[in-house]
Amino acid sequence: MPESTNRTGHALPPGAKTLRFRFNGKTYTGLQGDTLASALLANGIHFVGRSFKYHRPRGIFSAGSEEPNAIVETGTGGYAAPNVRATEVELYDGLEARSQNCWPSLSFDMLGINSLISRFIPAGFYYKTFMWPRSFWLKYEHYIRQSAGMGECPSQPDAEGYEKHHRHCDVLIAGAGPAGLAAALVAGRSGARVILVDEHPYTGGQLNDRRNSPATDNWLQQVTTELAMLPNVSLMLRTTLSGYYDHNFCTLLEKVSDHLPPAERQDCRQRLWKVRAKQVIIASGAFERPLVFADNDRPGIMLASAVRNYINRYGVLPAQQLCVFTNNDSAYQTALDAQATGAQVKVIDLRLKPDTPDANSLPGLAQAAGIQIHWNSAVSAVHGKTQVKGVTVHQLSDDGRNIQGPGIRLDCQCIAASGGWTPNVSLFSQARGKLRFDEEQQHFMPDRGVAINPNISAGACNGRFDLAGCISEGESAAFLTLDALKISASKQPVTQPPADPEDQPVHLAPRILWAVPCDHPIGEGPKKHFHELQNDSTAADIALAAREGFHSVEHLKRYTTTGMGTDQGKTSNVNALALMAEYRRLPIAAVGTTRFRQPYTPVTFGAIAGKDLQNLFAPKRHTAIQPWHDRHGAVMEDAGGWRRPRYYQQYPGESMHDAVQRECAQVRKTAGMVDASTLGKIDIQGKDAAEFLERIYTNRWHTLAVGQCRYGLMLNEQGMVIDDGVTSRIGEHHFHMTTTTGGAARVYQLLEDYRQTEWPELDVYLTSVTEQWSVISLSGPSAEAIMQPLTSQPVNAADFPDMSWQAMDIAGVPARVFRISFSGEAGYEINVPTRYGQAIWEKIWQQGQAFGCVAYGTESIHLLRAEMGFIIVGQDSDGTNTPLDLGMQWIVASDKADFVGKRGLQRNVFSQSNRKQLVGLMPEDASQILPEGAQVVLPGAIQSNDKGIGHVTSGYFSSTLESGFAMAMVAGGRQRKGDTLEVMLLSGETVRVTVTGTRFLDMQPKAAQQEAS
Amino acid sequence: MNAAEHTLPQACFPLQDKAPLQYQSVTLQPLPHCGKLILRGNFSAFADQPAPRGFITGPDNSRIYWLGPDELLVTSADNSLNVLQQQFAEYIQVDVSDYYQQLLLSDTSGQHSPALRHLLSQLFHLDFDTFAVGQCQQTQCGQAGVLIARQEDGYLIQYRVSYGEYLWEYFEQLMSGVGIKFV
Repeated sequence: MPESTNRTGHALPPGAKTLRFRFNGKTYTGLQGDTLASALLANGIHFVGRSFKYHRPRGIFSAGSEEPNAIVETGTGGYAAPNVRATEVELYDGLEARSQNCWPSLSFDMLGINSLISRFIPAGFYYKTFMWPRSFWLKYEHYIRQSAGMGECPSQPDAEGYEKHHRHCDVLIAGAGPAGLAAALVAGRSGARVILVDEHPYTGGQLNDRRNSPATDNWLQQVTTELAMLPNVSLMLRTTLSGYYDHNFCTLLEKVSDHLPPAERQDCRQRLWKVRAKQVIIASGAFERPLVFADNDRPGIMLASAVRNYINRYGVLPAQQLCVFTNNDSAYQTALDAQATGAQVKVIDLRLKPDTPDANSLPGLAQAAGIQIHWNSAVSAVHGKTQVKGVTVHQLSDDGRNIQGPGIRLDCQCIAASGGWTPNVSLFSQARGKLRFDEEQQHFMPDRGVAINPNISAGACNGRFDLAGCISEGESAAFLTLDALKISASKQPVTQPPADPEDQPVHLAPRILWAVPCDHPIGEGPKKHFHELQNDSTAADIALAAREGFHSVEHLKRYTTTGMGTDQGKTSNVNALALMAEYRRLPIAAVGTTRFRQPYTPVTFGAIAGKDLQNLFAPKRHTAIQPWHDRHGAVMEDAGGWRRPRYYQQYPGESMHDAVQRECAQVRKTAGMVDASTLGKIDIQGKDAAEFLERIYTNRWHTLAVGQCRYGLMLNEQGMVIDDGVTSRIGEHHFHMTTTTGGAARVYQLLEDYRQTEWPELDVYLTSVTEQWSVISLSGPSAEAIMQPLTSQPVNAADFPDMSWQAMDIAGVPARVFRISFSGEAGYEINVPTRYGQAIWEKIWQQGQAFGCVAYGTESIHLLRAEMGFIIVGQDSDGTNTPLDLGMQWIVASDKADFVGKRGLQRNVFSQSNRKQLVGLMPEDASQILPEGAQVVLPGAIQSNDKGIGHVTSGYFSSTLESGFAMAMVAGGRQRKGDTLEVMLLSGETVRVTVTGTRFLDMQPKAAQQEAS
Repeated sequence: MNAAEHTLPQACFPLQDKAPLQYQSVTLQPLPHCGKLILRGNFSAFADQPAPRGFITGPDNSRIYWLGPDELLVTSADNSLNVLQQQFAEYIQVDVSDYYQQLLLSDTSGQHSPALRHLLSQLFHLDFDTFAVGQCQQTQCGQAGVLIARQEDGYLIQYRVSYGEYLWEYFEQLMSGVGIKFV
C-alpha cells in the first residue's frame, strides 16, 4: 500500500482522517474530503481508464462534472454504480473503484488494438463498412456495442432507496459560486423563497481554488453563514440542477448518501426534486477549454484549472515537474501555485511575447518568480503513453499554422493546458435560450434578449470572469428577479470582499489556434488531436465530416459523436464548432450550435423511479368484489389499469384453456357471472343530454325511450371507431353511458372536451360514476331463474325485455338492472352501489349454485362475445377502422344532421372494396387455434413472397363450436366469404382457413344450439 | 328465498378496517363513510358558495367543495343525504357516495412539520406553503386522482375507491420509517 506521494500538506483540514480505498484491486489511502480523483493523484496515479473507441490510455483530466476521461465503476453487489466520474466521487473509507471499458486489465487491454488500426476506423466507419451481407448487421452491432462501451450494468438489484419530491420556490439559483451566492443573499434577505443548489459539498465554486485569499475566504464564510440562517433559503449542496424544462420546471438530483460508506447510509441514496420555480438564476460558472494538440489525451494531461483545483482544494500536486501550456493568462495562476508548492514549472505560451511585459500581469509575476516561459511556442509532441514523461516544444510560425526550428524536449509528468474559458450555458440552452458568439472572448454566451423561460444568467456562465463582476452580476440578477416577482422588500446590496493578493487582472482573450500544429499535417500522421475525449473524436474526424458534406452542426454531431457522451461535450463543443468553422472557412457563429439536452449530468434510473416500483409502479385498481375473486382461485390480469380475473382455477393446476372452456360451456348451458364493475360509467344529465349523445354517437338517441338501452359506436373526427358501449335512458334528461374498461378516462375527457369547447351552448353535464357502481353481469339460459328470487319484480323477457333497464331491489339493495348481454345469452347487468357489490355478488352466487352457475373471467368474456361476432374495440379494431370496415354500417345513421366522424366517413377511400374488413376464419383443421396478430395470406403467397392481406384480431377454441375460430381484418374480406386462405404461424407453418361471417354461433345446427341451451 | 325476506346487507368500504398508520407525530386514518353529492349547474344565484379552490360549511353540517365553475361536491353524514338532495333540488345532482372515500393525514406537531411535509412532497406537486386552511384542490396523489382539502386538523384526501389499496400501500411505505430522514 503506497503512501501518498503528492500531498503538499496544504488545503484539506489539518488532521483530516485517513481513509483506505481500493482501486483496481490495490489498496491506497486518501484523506477525508478527497474525491476519488484527488486521492488517486495523491498516490501518483494518473492512468485510470481506457477511451471509448480506440481504448487509448486515459487519465484524470478535470476536477469536476465536466470530466470526460476518468469514468469508473464504484461499489460492489447491490451498491455497484457504473459510469461515475472519479472527479465527483467523494472518498469514503472502504470505497472500491474499478476502471471500465478494458479487458482483461487496465494496463493490458485486448481492445487496445483498436488504437493500432485507428486509421482504418475513423468517424462513421461502421456506416460504410458493415454493409454486407445485410442480414449480418445485428451480429456486427453486437460486437461493436461490446467493444465500444461504458461500464457494465450491475448484475444485482439495487440495494438502496430513492425518493422523488415536489417543491415550489420563488427563485431557484443554480450554482453557489460568487454570483449565485450574491443572488441568493439578495433574494433571501427580501423574504423570497429561495433554493440555492450546488453540485459540490461546499459553497464558493472556484473561490475554493484560490491559494492566498483571506479576504475572499472570509467573505465566503460570512455569506454562507448568513444564508444558512435565513429560514426562507434552502441551501442544497451535493445537488445538481439536472434538467431545466418549460415553465421553469426543474429537476434537481440530490446525492444524499453517495459519499458515505454503505454501512452508514441511513437515508435514501439520492433524491430527485421536481421544482416549480417562478424565476431561475443561472450561475453555473464556466469550463476551461482544452487545447487541441498532438496526442493531447495522454494520462497526465489536465486542464490547468483542474491542476490548480487539486493543489488548492485537496493539497495534491499532480506532478513534481509540470508544463503549463496555454493561450491565455489564467493558466499562469496554476503555474504560480504549483511553483509555490515546490513543483518545477515551465510555461509554453502560444502567444507572442509582449513587447512591453507588464510586471504586475500574471505572466510578469510568473517571470519574476523564475518560471521559464516559452512564448510563441507549442507542444508538438507528448512523450509517454500511460503517463506523460515529457514534451517536445517548437516555435510557431508567425501565422501559427506551422511549427518551425528545432524542437526542445522538456521533462514533465503533467501538462496543465488551457485554451481559454467557455461559459457553462447548458442550463440556459436547456431552457430554450439562444446563444450568441462573443468574438472578442471567443466563446458562446447567453443571448439575453431571447430567453423563453424566465431566467437570468449571472457570472462566469454569462461571460463575466472577474470576482467583483460576478458578485455584481449575481446581485443585479436578484434585483431584476425580485422586480419580476413584484417583491417590494428593500433590496440590500451585497458587500464586495476587499481585494486579495491574487486579484490580479487576468487577460483572458486567447491566441486562437483551434488545432495546434505538430510535425505532420493533422490527420496524416501518427499523432491524434482530440477535440472530444469521451467519444474519441479528433480534429481529423471533423475535417472528414466537412469533406463528406456533414456540414450541419446536427449532422456533425451525429457523424463524429462529438458532444454525445455522458459529459455532453462540456469541454469539447466549442472546439468542435470552431474546427468545423475553420475547415469551412466560416465565422464560428455561422456554424451554429446544437441545443444542450437534459440531464446536465447523468441521473440514475433509481432516482427517476423513486418509490414507483413493483406494486407502486402503476396503480392496480381493484373492484369491491376483489376479496371474493381472491378466495375463489381467480388468476388476475391487468386490464386498463384494473386488476380483473382472467379465469378461475377450479382446482390447482387447471390450465387456462381448460378453465375457459369449462366456464364458457357452463354459461351456454346454465349461467355464469362476471365482475363488470370496471366498465367506464358516465352520468349524463341536462336538457340537451339526448342531443349531446346524438352528436357523439353514430346512431339516434332522441328516439330512445326512458327505460330503454341502446348500443352506441363512437368515432373520432376521421371516422375511425374509438369506443363503444351501451347507454341507457334513466330519465327524460338523464342517461347512463358505459364505455370500455380501458377507454373510460379517455372517453370521459373527450366528451368533456366536446362539451366545453365545441358545444358550450348545450345544457349537459357529465360526471364519472365508474366507481359508484359495482356491476355484476349474469347471463345464460338459467339467468332468469337465478335472478327472480332476488327481487319482487318480474324479470322474464315479457316484463323485462332485452335492451331495457329497471330500478329494482336486488336482495334488499336498490339497484339499476340492465337487460343486456355481451355473451348472446339472456343477461342482466346488475348495478348496485359499490358498498354492496361484494354482498350482492355473493347472494347471486349462492342463488346460482343450484344451477351450476360459474364465475368467469376476461378470457371467457372474449370467447363468448367472439362466438357472437361482437367486437372489442382496441382488439378487433386498431384506430384505423371505420364502422364499414367492421361490418357495422347498420349503426351509422347517415341521414343525421351531424355526428363526430360523419364528415370523415364521407371520404371515398372508406368505401373502397379492398379495404381491410372484419371477417370470420374457420380453420380446416378444427383443432387449430389461430394466434392473434398472425398474418393472413393468399394460398401459395409465401412461396411467391407475396405480402399478407390481413391479420387475425381474435382467435380462440370454442367447445360449443367444437373448433377453433377467429376474427380477422382481411383486405376485401367480405368478398372473400367461402374462399380458402392461409394463416402464417411463427413456426413457419401455415394453416388453411375458410373465410366466414363473424357470427359463429349461428353456424351451429339448430339442434346443437338447442342442446347447448 | 323469497325476495321479501332480503334485508339490506352490511355495507363494505375499502380501508374501513385499516388501523391508522403512524410515523412520529403524523397519522393517516381512514374516515367513516359519508354521503357525497355532485351538484352541476349555474351557481351564480347560489348565495353561500365556496370560493374557487375552496370549501365551506354548508347546511346541516355539510361541507361544500368547489370543484369547478359549474361543479360542487357536497359531503355530509350518510343519513342526511336525502335532506341535502332536497335542499339542492334546483341543481343537477349525482350521488357519488360510493365513488370517493376519505383519508385524514394529520400531524400533532402542526401542518408545517418536516415529517408531514416530507410525506406530502412525495405524493403531491402542490405548493403547500400557499395551500391554506379552507382550500381544496383536485390533483394527483402519486398516480391517483384525488381531492385534497386543508382543514384545521390536517389534510383531507378524498380518493376514488378503486385506488384505495394503491394509496394505502404508498403511505405505508412512506410511513414505515425505513430510510426516512426529514429534509
